Amino acid sequence: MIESSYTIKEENGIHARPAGFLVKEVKQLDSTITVKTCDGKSAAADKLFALMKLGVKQGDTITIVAEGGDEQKSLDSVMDFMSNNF
Amino acid sequence: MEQQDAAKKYINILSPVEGEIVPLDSISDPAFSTGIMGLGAAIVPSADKVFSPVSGVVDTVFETLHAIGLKSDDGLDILIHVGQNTVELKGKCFKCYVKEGQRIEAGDPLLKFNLKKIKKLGYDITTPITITNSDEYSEILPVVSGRSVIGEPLIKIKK
Repeated sequence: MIESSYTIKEENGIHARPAGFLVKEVKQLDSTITVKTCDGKSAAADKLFALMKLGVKQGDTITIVAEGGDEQKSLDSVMDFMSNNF
Repeated sequence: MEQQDAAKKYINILSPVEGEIVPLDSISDPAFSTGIMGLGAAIVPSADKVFSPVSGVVDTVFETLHAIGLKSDDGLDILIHVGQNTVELKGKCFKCYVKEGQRIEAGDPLLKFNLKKIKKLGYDITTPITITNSDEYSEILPVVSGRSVIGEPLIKIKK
């Protein structure tokens, strides 16, 4: 299991539409991706409603966790996606 | 008899808002038009209230109240997203009648929005209703045109 942190720059945080794109990205990976917030909540990154419910806002730092499969490759993909979209 | 049984397997999602039904792929945002948010239908509202299309539980009320996620008793994850880019309104123009975790019946009021003001501010009010766990179902058959009447079937779904 490996993880990396990311601070959200997108003004509206992780809301419905971009969360949908994240779900699509994550479903293509061979690792299980989890998003954790600084206040202890976590969500499977392939579940849209769970991601939306985290209520992640601009300026929040989240932790992306990759588990199983090619963890480094999966984590790199998610981190790339985050910096391009959030 | 067999035919009847087959017909029973369809789950109906009811129209949540009055207006004009349009195809989901007519929405300008690719997140909806290409099915990333799931398959479903879209309505251009002519009234300002959203009613529950199913019986189930309110799963997610997004903080800015422009989107709501419902989990139906049949296991459907349903996203109703009022207008396009309306996250930018930051909750202005929206009022929500329900809370996360609340039990709802089909036809219960969920949201109210200021249709005139949202339009005046230049937003596209087209409202997609999508099944975000579409991949768990074999058939998702939306109505793609005509008048949307509250409580009438909008999407037929088969497990």
